[in-house]
Amino acid sequence: MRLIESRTTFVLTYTALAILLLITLFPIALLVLNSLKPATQIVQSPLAWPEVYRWDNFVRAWNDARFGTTMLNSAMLAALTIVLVCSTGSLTAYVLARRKIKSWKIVTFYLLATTTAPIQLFLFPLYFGFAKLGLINNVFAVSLIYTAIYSPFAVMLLRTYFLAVPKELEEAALIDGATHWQVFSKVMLPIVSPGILTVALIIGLYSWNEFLIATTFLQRTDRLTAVVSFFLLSGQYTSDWGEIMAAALIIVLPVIVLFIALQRRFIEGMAGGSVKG
Amino acid sequence: MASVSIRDVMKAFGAAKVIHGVSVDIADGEFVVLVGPSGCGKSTLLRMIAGLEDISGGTISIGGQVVNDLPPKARDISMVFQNYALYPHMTVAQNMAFSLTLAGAPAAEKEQKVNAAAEILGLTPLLDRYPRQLSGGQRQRVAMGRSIVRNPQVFLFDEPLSNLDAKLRVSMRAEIKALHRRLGTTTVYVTHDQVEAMTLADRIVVMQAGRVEQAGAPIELYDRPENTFVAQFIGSPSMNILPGRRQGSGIMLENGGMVAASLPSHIEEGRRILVGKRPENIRLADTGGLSATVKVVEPTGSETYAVFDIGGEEVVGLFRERVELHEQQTVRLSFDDGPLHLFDAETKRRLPD
Ligand SMILES: Nc1ncnc2c1ncn2[C@@H]1O[C@H](COP(=O)(O)OP(=O)(O)OP(=O)(O)O)[C@@H](O)[C@H]1O
Ligand SMILES: [Mg+2]
Repeated sequence: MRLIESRTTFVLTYTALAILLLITLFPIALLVLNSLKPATQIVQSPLAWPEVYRWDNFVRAWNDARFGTTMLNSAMLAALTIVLVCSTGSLTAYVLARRKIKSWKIVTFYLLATTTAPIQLFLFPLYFGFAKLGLINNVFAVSLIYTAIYSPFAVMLLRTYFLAVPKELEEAALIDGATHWQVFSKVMLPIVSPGILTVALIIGLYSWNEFLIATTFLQRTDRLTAVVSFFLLSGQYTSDWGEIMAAALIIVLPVIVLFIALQRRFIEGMAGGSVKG
Repeated sequence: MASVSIRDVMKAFGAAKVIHGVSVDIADGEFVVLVGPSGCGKSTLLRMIAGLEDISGGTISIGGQVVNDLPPKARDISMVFQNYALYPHMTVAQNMAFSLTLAGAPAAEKEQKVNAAAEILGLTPLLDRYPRQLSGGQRQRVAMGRSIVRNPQVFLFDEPLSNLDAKLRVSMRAEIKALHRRLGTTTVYVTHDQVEAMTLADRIVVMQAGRVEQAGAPIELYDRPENTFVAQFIGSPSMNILPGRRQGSGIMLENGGMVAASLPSHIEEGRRILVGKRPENIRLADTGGLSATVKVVEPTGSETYAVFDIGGEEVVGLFRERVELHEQQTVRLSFDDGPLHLFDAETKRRLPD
């Protein structure tokens, strides 16, 4: 009786998972499939297997979108943003989690409120301000904007990681002779590193995919990000869908590879075993 | 090693006062156990010694130096926490050496000290493991190893054994005792387990609601409790306390029984007192004594634990010999064996002999 029941559950679970997997993988499969076809065949039969494999789609995508430069720009932008968000965010989160700050509720409200404000609201004042300061087409300046936008999320998430660390660990470190900075850098940071990695991945993804700000602040051709130059592919070159598909694949590939590679560390918590268990 | 002197120490968390003037002097090399019911302020006092809590009033000195305003690392103490507080991202060896690493000690010195401590605690084969790969008892040992490596002036323990199972607790207790004999470091140990306190301590400090009720050697506390709280806190099962009045050369209990006792002359006739009798000193009698009804019998093999009803009051007896008792049976209990503890009915304090 129990066996049958559990087998039914088993089958149901796996069916549901399989369907979800299919839904998730379908667009990617379509992308891969069509990136290898000539534009004419895509329009005729988007679901069919390629008649001829057009590997040159990738070459043209790479050259036309100048991914050599633009992906580097994107990577730099993402890396800068990750470094800024993680360093400032972890410090802020630690303080908010540990030091008894009476106004924590106000700070939370402020952080939440800022995330709800639409970016379009700030875009033009920000643009004119940055233009006055000569910060247009400056990757570092854009990473500052990203940092401001993504920090509330990062702080809120990291705060929960810091809260989960038992207070005794810090106290033990203080007794062992650590300064407050050493408590943070040698004890807290390594323990919350899975959280920081999570934040880094998500922030990296956000800034890699970000379009509106990137297209506003980075307009010079040698400063474009990959996503913006991908957008410029359509129209500019009479919409060669094969090439666009290939370009899209090139852009998402690093993201997919990164997630697959870091998935384990993502899930694995490191805090296990520090205290009784 | 150093003495610790706690003078009129007070602690308030905001408006809530939790420690009301505690004074304890701990000699160099002494093993002092703080006991008391949950919430009485034991941990708070220990954390004030460690420097993890501010001291609201009074002074604490270690080795003759007032440490009130010193941070934990300047006090040269070490602490073992109830949940061990091992650094999860460091191996056992790194955990134990962390204080030396922070102090910038050379690798050779670290290795030598860690190995020596691991040797004492039997941790040598585990040095490369992470805390999550250890059992509760092993983690406990690592936490102690971390303390030993530092070779501090004072060891502080906050309920280090309460997360272990009963059997392991007994063996770790013996290890802590042996460790103290070997190193001779001044130790302050917090527990709410009175058996732990009795077996480990050179001196026990019994606390209740932020005050010291009594401090003394374990046997002294057992034999001469200063008040009914200590009388009932030390010893298991706890002491029976029955109200009564002096009547001639004995005590007339409120539940009707008469207990013969040689009372000191300063207790006036008719004065209300409390009579304390340890369960292990209660005997079954053939004649005389008090008439009692058996309510509960619990034989454990080595001893028999019984609850009696004497005129509506519960009295607990503990018999080392095999006794034939069954529920609802009427027996006679004798209070003649062992000492009778007398307390004032109002102040609950011990009456002088
Ligand atoms: N940070 C704090 N803020 C406010 N009150 C506190 C704080 N820490 C402890 N207290 C209060 O101080 C009192 C003593 O606490 P403490 O932790 O010292 O008790 P304890 O004797 O160690 O008890 P237990 O045996 O349960 O560990 C308690 O009433 C507790 O509620
Ligand atoms: Mg406590």
